[in-house]
Amino acid sequence: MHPHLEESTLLAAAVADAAAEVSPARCRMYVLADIGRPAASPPLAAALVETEKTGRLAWIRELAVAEPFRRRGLGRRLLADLLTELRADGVREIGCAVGRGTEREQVAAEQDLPVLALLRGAGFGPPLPGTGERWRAFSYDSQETRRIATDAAVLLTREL
Amino acid sequence: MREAIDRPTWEPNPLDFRVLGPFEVVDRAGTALDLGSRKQRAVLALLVLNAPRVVPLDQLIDQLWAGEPPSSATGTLQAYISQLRRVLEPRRGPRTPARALRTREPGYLLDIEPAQVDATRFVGDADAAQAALLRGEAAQAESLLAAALRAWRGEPLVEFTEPFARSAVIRLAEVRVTALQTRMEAWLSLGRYSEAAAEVGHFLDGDPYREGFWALLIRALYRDGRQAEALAAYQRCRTLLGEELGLDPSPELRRLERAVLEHDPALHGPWPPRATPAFTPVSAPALTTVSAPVSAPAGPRPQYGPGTGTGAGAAGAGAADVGGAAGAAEPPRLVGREPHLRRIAERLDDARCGSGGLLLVTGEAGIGKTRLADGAAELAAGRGVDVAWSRCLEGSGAPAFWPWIQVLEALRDGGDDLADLASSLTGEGDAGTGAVSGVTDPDTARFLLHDAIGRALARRAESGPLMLIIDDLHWADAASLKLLTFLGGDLHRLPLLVLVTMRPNGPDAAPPLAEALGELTRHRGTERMSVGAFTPEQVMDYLADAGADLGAETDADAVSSAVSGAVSADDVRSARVLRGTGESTIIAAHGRAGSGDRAGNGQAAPRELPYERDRALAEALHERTGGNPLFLRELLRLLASNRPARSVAADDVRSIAVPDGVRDVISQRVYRLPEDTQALLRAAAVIGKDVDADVLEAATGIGAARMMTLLEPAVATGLLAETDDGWNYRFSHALVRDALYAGLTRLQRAQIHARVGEAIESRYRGDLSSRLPVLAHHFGSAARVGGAAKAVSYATEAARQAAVHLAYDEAVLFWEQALAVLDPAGMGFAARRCSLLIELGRARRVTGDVVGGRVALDEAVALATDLGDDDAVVEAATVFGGVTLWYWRAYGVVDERMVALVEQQLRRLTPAAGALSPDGAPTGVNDVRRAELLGTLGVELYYGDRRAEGRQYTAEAVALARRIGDDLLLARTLNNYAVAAWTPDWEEDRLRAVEEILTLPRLPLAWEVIARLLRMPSLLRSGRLPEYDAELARCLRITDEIRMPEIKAQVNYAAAGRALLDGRWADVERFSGTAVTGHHRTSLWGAGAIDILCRFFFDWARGRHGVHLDELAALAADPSHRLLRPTAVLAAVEAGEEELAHRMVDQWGTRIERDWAWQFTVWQWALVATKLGRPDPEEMLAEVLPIADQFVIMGTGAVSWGAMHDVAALLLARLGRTGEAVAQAERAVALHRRLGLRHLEEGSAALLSRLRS
Repeated sequence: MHPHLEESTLLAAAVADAAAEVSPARCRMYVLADIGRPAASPPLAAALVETEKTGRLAWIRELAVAEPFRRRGLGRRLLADLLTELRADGVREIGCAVGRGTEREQVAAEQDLPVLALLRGAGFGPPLPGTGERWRAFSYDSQETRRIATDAAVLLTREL
Repeated sequence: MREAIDRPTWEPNPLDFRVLGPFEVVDRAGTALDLGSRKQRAVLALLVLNAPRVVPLDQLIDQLWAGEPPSSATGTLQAYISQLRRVLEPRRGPRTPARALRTREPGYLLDIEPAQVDATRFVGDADAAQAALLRGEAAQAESLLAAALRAWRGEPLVEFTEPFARSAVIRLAEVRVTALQTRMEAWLSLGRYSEAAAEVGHFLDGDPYREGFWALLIRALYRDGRQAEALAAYQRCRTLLGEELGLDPSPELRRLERAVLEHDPALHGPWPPRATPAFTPVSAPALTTVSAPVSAPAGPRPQYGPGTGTGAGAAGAGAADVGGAAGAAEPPRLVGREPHLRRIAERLDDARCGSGGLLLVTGEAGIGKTRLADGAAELAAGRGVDVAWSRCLEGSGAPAFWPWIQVLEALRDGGDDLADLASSLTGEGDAGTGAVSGVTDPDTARFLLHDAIGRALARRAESGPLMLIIDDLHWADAASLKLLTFLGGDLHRLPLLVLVTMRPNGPDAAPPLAEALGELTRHRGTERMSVGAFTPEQVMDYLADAGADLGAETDADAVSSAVSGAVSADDVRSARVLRGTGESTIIAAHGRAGSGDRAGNGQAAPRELPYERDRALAEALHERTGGNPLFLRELLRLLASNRPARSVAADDVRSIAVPDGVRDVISQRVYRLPEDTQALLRAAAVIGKDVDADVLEAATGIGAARMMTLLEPAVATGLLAETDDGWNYRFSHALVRDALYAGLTRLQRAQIHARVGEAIESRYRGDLSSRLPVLAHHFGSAARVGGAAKAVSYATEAARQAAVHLAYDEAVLFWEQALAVLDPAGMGFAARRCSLLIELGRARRVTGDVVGGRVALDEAVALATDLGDDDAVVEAATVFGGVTLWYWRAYGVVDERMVALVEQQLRRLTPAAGALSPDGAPTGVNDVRRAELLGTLGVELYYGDRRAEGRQYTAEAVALARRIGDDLLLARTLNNYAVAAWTPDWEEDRLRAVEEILTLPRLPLAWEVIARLLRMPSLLRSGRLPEYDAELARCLRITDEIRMPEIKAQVNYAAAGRALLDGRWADVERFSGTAVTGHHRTSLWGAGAIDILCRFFFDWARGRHGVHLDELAALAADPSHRLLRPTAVLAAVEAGEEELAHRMVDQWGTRIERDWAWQFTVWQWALVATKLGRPDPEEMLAEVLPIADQFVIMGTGAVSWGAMHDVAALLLARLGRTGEAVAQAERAVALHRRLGLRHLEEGSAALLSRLRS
């Protein structure tokens, strides 16, 4: 897993968004690769994580598993590793917004997006009352206000 | 990590760890460190409680998650550990190893001084205070205790609810109570009676059931002059005990009451009045002791004092008695377990005096715990202690209480009550009988059952000391564990020793086991002993012992099934008891009850060991198995079954694959690790047993920090070890690496090999020359996935490098590898293959594998002919015309195909085709080729009828080489001449040619040896022995420098022959042994034939006849061994079997070839003729007389003999010309005497006297 940015078609869109919104120094990419395959083959799963300035909050911007490798537990594995790494670095809370814009209705109807199930299985849940301020603060900590936490369809967080 | 300076020296860690109260860690300045979340603090607390001992990883996980760890447990734990490291050592650099919180197999340890933990200081102070009080220094005791008790801030580790904390709390609380007690005693001694009374009263309000404190209260009140209150206190105590617990006050208290009533003056001193001081250590044993081989015992000292008088007073004298009376049997010899057995013997002696206890023997799977238990049983038998065995079974097949059922069955004849209990446990008895009848409450029922069993065992033990052995406790059910815990507390008072074997807390260490262990280790008399792996020396000892046992075992199935835990029903029911009658049954080699009757195995006559007691073999085995006896045994069995006839050598060990049983054991351990760690371990396995961390990093593409983090669990569980020097790793057993490697699919292996190869290339760019073999290996394994080209090039380079270093065997391997991976679809495949084959053939020829070389070269020739590449054909064909001592083909064989080929090439290279300079001198490469070809042809024609022609060709080649002026070519062609002209008629010319070789400058060492060896026979023949010896010495010295097995064998033959002349029999044996072994390793012709010739003449020289006749006759019947025929007939004649000899001569004839063996053959036939009359003695005489003063020598000297005068004399005698015979014999005697050849001289003298008479 590389803690620096790399080309990856899995996350290309998310990386582009992140580059536009926030300093790359605060973003990390985690990649799950199979060393039993040629060095140049694409990774099996990838995740893009942004950390907040004090280092105690982190935000999963994107988590994706390549199409041929789904339903094998790779997403869960990547997420578990990712959480361990972040915890070792001192992150105390981690959040993820699932669904935005048009998917909102879909998610609101509790359709099981796979990533939703994954996060729920890893212990993510709705933010506790009173923690909304933290997340709002996070989303406002750059020059332009970013509307992440409040406008997302479902905001799930987890204490580490 | 914030500091810019990386401090090179480590400053002492001044942290103070406080567990007496809420857990905190305080630094030098007094500020408490932020220890993180609750679980993280729990980790640190657990490490502190065990510091500085190792806490196994599994135990950590168990304690933190109470037996239900999530799948990410190990990872979370890693995170905690790294966080803690950061907290404890904030200034540690990124790549420096941790100092305080270290990783050590099988877990972690906190490397601090014990004095840094307040609990340790507290306990130490309490002990010191008690000692001071006993010496009478009450004031000092009081001050120590005051300080110590001040450190007590509250209930220890109050925030933790985990079991480890509970047991620590209990233990420390006990220490505190005892400290308080001591303090009260001190106050009484110092006269502070009323204070003491008040304190004790206060304490008793909180904890009213401690009789000791009631006693203190009574005494304090009495000495304060308040007798009535003292008696009232006694009444209160009595009421309390009676109403709440239904107990009577103990005899001590009653005695105290009487003393108060009678105003006993003894009350003013210490109570109870003691004759000798009793010091029972306050500190209980620590929770876990894993790494020390024998942990400090909890002090099974006999306890003096009222109420426990079982022979305690006599213990001091009794020890001496025990030593004398036991007549202790020799402890059984178990490799590497001597200290354990000694300790067990001590505990047995203690048990016989009445202080038993519990011995926990821990060790990983296959380390030999059960073997040790067997040894302990033998020791017990020798000391008159009865033994009862029981074994716990894996899985859910066994009933509850299974080990105890076995124990009770074994002791059945010790009394009815035991039998009843046994049946009640199994449920066989009636429900209405027994100790637990009529009780419905399950807890009470269990208590009563435990109590009954305890009392029954105690009674049994009183009648005779007893040892219980429970095997594999980690598989015991919860009910058995509870019973064991119950009994454990009383063991120190009974002559009952319980020995338990178990694995260190495994993956399925259920809570019952952890709890039971926690409880048991608190008891007095419990001791932990761990059994470790073998060192190489111990492996050598093991081989010496195991050779006999393993050779005797035929039933491999029984043992391997026993190993995996599946034991038959018969085994299970027959728990054995050994009685100390002196004729104990010998325990079977691997200690499995009932599996076959192997009694007497240990006393069988020593069989021939299948293993040489070989240091190299022991080290290879140790390296492969890591010293684990189970792996060792499995591997040896596998090796022995593969090579039953010959002995096992170190190479076999290296080449064998991992046995299945072992692989399963390893796989289990591997699968418990996190998945990322497993993937990384497999990649590391591809790199090899020694894992270069940089290469691993580069091959997998992860960063160094993450790699180290991922590998932590593997290190902690002992699969991987860190090397001492730096960042690299090493697999703890080679079998671990092999098992991991075998777990990869072929495609994965190939891919990872490719990655590793590229990683090495990029990491060590510029320094590849020392890594060529490694690169060749990796790319070779990755050939199918695109590494073929690199593999071939690296293998070629490696082969060349090896040849430069004279490591020809390795060079051969590399050439073979290059050939194997050459891509058939690539360009120029045939041509490249041809050139590789030629190199391979040449390399094989040099190592002595002539047959293999010929195979390679034949194929090369065929390929080259197809391609029409004549140069390649010539190159291939002329490899066998290279410098050689013996003509490598079998005796009498001519390869017509090769002859035709060479002639064809020669025709192509006739002088007309080569360019000539104006003065007629030949130039150019063609002439070199021609010379080589002519030389080769001449040699190839040796055994045919074109021999003379062949000799001429080689002469021509020599002339050509001389004209060209190339010294090496000249040497080669002269050597060709020497080989091709090896007939009795051309001796002189040959000699001249050989001597010319020795004059050439810059001769390669190997060629020099060969030339000398070619010259030496003529020296011997003419009796110039000192010169021969000088040449031989020089040859021996040179062969040590060059590594060519062929030449080494030949030189040793020459030495053997020379020693035979002198009669130095030991030297003959030594040299010919080395020579024959070496000869067998090459594929030169004649190893078997020359071997038997050497042996025959060796025996004959010592006067033993008729020994090898059958073998010789059988071999000589084969036409390819017709060289042996005269010897066979000679043997028959010497054995007196004239009929047989005549038959052989009829069948084979007596034709003598005029080749290199001519003189030797003549001599033998002459000897035959003297006895048999055939071949015609007259003819033989005519042959012999001209060379009568020559010494006999075969070829280049494997066999040599005295002067031919002897045989001439014999022939003359047979022909009736006695006078001449005598003259010949006299000359023989004189010649032998002049040269100092004693035994030959004696032989000739005997002949002479026979002739004269």
